[in-house]
Amino acid sequence: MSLSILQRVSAGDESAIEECLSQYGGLVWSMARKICSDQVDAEDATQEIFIEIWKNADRYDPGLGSESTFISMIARRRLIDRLRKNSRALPTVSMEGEYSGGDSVPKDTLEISDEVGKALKCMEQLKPEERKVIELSICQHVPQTKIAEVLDLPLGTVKTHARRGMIRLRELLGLKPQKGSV
Amino acid sequence: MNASWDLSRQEQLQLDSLFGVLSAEDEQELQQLNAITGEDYSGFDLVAGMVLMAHTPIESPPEGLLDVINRSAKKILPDPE
Repeated sequence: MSLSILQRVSAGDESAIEECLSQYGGLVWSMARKICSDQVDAEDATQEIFIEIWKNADRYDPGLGSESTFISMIARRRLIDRLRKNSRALPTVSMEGEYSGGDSVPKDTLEISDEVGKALKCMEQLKPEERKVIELSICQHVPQTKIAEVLDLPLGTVKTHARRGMIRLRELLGLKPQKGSV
Repeated sequence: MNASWDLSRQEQLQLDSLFGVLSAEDEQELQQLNAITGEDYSGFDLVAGMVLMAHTPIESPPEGLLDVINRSAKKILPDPE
C-alpha cells in the first residue's frame, strides 16, 4: 500500500511538500480567506497552517479520517487560535435563509469533493435547529451567547442543540476519538 | 438512529474547547486528560474541520504564495531517517 502525502512528509520526502501544497493549497487558502480579516492576514495564516500541518504530519492516522479532514481540522484550529489571540471582530452574521453550503462550487480534488459531499449529506440529517446552531458556530464562528440572542433561544437550548448536533455528526461521519476517552 | 448523548468528562471538555467556552481551569484539566489518553485531537475536532471544509468554496491562492511556502518548507522538514 502506498504512503499518503502526509506520511511521506513525516518521512522527510521533499517532493511530498510540493504535492501537499498543490493538492491542499486551495483548501487551506480558502479557509484562511474565509476567516481572516484581509488578504495579508490570510497569506500569513496559510503559511502558518502548512507549517503546522508538516510538523504534525506524523500524527495523521488514515484510520481516523481522510487527509483533507485532518488538514481542515488543523487549519480550523490554527485560524480560531489566531482569531482568539487577536481578539478580532468576528465575521458578520448573516441570518438570511439556510446556508448554501457552497456545494455548487467546484472543489480542487476528488478527495475533497467526496468529503464535502459526505459532510453535507450528514448535515442534512440533523434537525434544522441543530444544523443552524452548528453552521453559525463552526462556519461563522458566532459565540453561543450571540446565537442565543439572534435566534431568540435560551443559552441552554443552544448548547443542547450544539452538543447533540456534534454527537450525531461524529456518529454519522464515523469520526471517533483516537483512543478511549476518560 | 439512536445517538448516545452521554459524553465522558474528556469529551465534554473537548466540545467546550471547540466552542470556545472553556475556563482556564478546565483547559488545564483537558490537557491533563489528553496527556493520559495520548490524544492530539478529538473526533469533534475532525467533525468541525469537515463541516468548515464543506462550507468553504475553494478559491485559488494568490500567485506565488505556495512557492514562497514551498521554499521555506525545507527549514522545518524532519531529517529523513
